[in-house]
Amino acid sequence: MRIAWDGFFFAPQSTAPMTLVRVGWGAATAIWALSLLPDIDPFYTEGALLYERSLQAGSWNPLPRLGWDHTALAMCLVLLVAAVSTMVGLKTRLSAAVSVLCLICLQRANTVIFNSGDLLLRQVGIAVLLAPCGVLWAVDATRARRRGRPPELLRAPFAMRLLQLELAVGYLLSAWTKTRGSTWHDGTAIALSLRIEDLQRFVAPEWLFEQSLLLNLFTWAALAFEATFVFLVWPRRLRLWVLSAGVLFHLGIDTFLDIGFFSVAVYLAYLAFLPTDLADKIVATFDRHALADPSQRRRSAPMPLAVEPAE
Amino acid sequence: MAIVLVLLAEVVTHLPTGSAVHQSVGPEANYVIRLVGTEQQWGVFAPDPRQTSLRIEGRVTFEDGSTAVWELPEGNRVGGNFRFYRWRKWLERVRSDDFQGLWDPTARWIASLYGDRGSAVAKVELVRMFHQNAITGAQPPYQDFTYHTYYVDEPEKLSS
Repeated sequence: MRIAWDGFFFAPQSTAPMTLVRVGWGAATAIWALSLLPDIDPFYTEGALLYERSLQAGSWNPLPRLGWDHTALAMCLVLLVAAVSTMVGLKTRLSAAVSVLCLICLQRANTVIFNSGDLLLRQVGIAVLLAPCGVLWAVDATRARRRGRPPELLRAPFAMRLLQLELAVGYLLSAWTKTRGSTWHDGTAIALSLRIEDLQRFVAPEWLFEQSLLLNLFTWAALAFEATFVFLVWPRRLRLWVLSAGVLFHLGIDTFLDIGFFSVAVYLAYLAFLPTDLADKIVATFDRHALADPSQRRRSAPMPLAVEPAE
Repeated sequence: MAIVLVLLAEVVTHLPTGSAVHQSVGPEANYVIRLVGTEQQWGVFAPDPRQTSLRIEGRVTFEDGSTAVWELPEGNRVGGNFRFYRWRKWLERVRSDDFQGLWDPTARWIASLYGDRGSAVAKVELVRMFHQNAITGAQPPYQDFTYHTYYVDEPEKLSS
């Protein structure tokens, strides 16, 4: 049990999956900041749509205490710069920490304008902050190699595991919450979701709503996907199939429903599940060190990975 | 161990609020995940998706009797969606009875948008528009209901 635990959370392995998460998260967070800039006024302006609301116990936020009218604007600009810095791997951990801090402050300062996708984007950022994801395809790594101190490529994956477990458990919680409703049982939930006009992005064709059998199947398939993800995503032979199904599922959501960064954040979390050999190959397209010295890498991974024997 | 504790706390916050586990450790779990900044909402379209479509209007009446209608900002569905989803989320809350504290500041803000007109704003009515969604066929017309009226008082006019 102890060996399996240590193997799962701490056996050194490639940082390539989290490198991909880092680059994608930096880009997505920069877009998040850019898309917020035009609405800083009114959403963060006193006397406009910045409402006085008390936060729940445990929530901290220094932003309202700073007392300067342009704090939110400044924080959004800092977030933009920090996110780009994280994306390119410049002062990776520091820039990720600053980005996450800015996200927390901005999201908590006006809670009425954000959805679950924003929280998930922040969660991905916390994993990036904790992970050693600046050792590949990063300015930090290039500088370190120039100084003759190449970074260790194999690292304990506990932050990646946190992100994987957050997503997998999250899907399960989502399925569980849905089982308390009636429309997921009777198979009409997808049709009803697509009919919410104030959430529509592209309107689903009218003929689709006549296909009640198909809509029943979509509803139950979505529920089944969420309920089983936590079990099916770990075996190597199923993983890419499960992730592909998830991408299709979220592409469907994203096409028809305007839910901001939710699907983007999920795709980023999916990157953490990529098999390391595949992630290594992708990262090696841009950074040859991802595939450097495979013999050393095999020696460096003494712990058996109980859940992922193929890796 | 910290990872497991955070995950457990997250699970607890998603348990039914009436459950004994949630009642005994829910507040502590909620406190922990907020302290570490990992609060999540895994209840999208759960337990059931909303079965109504919503719109909001701010109906502005000026002192000279003329009127104007403020509507929710919208933008391009490709690219612009990353900005305007926030307005759509705001709409869900600002029209809700659970968020009555938002009504007056919102109406005041809408009034401020029309401060440069020849006539001063006399009142702003927040109107919620809604219809029950039908799965098939044509959707019913929107019903509207004025749920908050804000009268601009004299000192505010002088200060603006």
